[in-house]
Amino acid sequence: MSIKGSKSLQFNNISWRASFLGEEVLLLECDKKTPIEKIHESTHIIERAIGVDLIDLVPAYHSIAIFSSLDVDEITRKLNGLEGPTEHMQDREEVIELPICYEIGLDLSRVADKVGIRKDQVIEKHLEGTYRSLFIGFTPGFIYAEGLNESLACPRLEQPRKRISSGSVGIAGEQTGIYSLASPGGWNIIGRTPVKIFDPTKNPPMLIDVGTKYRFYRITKREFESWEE
Amino acid sequence: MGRVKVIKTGPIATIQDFGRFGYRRYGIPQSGAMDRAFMIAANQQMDNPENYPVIEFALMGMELEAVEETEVSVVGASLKINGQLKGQCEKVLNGDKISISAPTYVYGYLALGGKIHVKEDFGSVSTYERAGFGGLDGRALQRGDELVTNGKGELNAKADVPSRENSEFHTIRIMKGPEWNLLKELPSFESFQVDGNSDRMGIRLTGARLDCDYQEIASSAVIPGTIQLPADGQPIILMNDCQTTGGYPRIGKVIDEDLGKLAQLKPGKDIKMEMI
Repeated sequence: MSIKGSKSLQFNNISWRASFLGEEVLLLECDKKTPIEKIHESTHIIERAIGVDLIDLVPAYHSIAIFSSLDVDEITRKLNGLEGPTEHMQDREEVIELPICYEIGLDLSRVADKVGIRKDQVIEKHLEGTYRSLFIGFTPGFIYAEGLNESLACPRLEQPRKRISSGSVGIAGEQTGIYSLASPGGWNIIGRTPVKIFDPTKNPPMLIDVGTKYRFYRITKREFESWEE
Repeated sequence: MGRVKVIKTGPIATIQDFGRFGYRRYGIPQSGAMDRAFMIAANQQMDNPENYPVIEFALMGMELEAVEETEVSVVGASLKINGQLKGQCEKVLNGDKISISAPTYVYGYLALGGKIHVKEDFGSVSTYERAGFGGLDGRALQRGDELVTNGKGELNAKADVPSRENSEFHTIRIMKGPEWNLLKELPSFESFQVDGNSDRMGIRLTGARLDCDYQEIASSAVIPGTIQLPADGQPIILMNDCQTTGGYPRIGKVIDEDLGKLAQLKPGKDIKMEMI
């Protein structure tokens, strides 16, 4: 395939700029104002249109990378002009309920200080929210989500930690997310869920897939420690 | 069936194959052999299929002992059996001592006759230590580990070992990346050096600085070969164990064909990038 230049295409009522991320990787980018649901719908449209020739897809905030051995012209021809989604392509409306223990939130006090409210108010505002997984990246299973109450926005730690435990729920600026596996990280940890979010023995390995909504309910430290799935 | 035991190893000897594909959307890296051509050659010397698991060892050599009759094949290092220098491919018998030198470049490869028996995670046996995928319990090899194969190898089959010339100057071919246009002026990619702080995740370059209208981009896909430009102007070339998304401008990408050659450059080597 020719790997020079960029071109544009249109599907799902979005204008996309296509350029090459690699020899066999096409990067589609759209306007920054495009809602994330439209990105998720578009990934389903791409999966259906390219079918078995699709090796992988990486959706992000306003881009989708398409890994395929098909020629760029072929991909463009298959996608151009496709209309928006059928019902089952839309984000699922179910809401997953996740237990969370705040007593082991390493940075709960720091967040309370930074945003100028009490710890119990931080917890209350956090429990009120409904979150949605936007995409998975950084490390295996790391969930970037939306839905954080603006008043809880808190800058990252100055010094990232070497190890953050799996299930840790974090805040970085206006972003929120879940460390599905233990990893280094610089987000404020306000609590932890005992539920296994990422399980390599399952396919798909993610309990919360991209586009899925989730909410938290509070458990005690004792419940956290004796949690069994 | 063959069986060998690890007697001595450096800290970064891992089992690798071609890598994982199809799971990037879950944040799962590709992994796989850093120098795919060397890995293929190690298998070819044995008449194994090209994608059979191999042991990739970096910086230091290895010592093993044969527990049962096994064929061993080495690329990118030299091989001694019971203290005697041999060719790249030999049969070993119970009790034989196998000594593999430190890699000539950065990564060396050891294949065994038949298929090394290890568990797959997400369609690949490649070791990804950070998440404990693949390999032996998701970790690097340790003294005492036993590797078992099913089947046998054919000694001295014809192999195609690519040259990894060890001169002081190397040209790596690149293509433009999505944020190429953020570069302030057409850069001359003349004089970079490979930094010592490089690993399976990425190769850092020092030397020339690239000036860029710096901005963090909203996290978006990255792949092995992506040339990221952080605020300090010193490019990082992402490699096999790299994350799946990143927030630094992607000014270019090293072409797939040159990634193995790049991986084999020791810290301090001069490189020059050339646009295809």
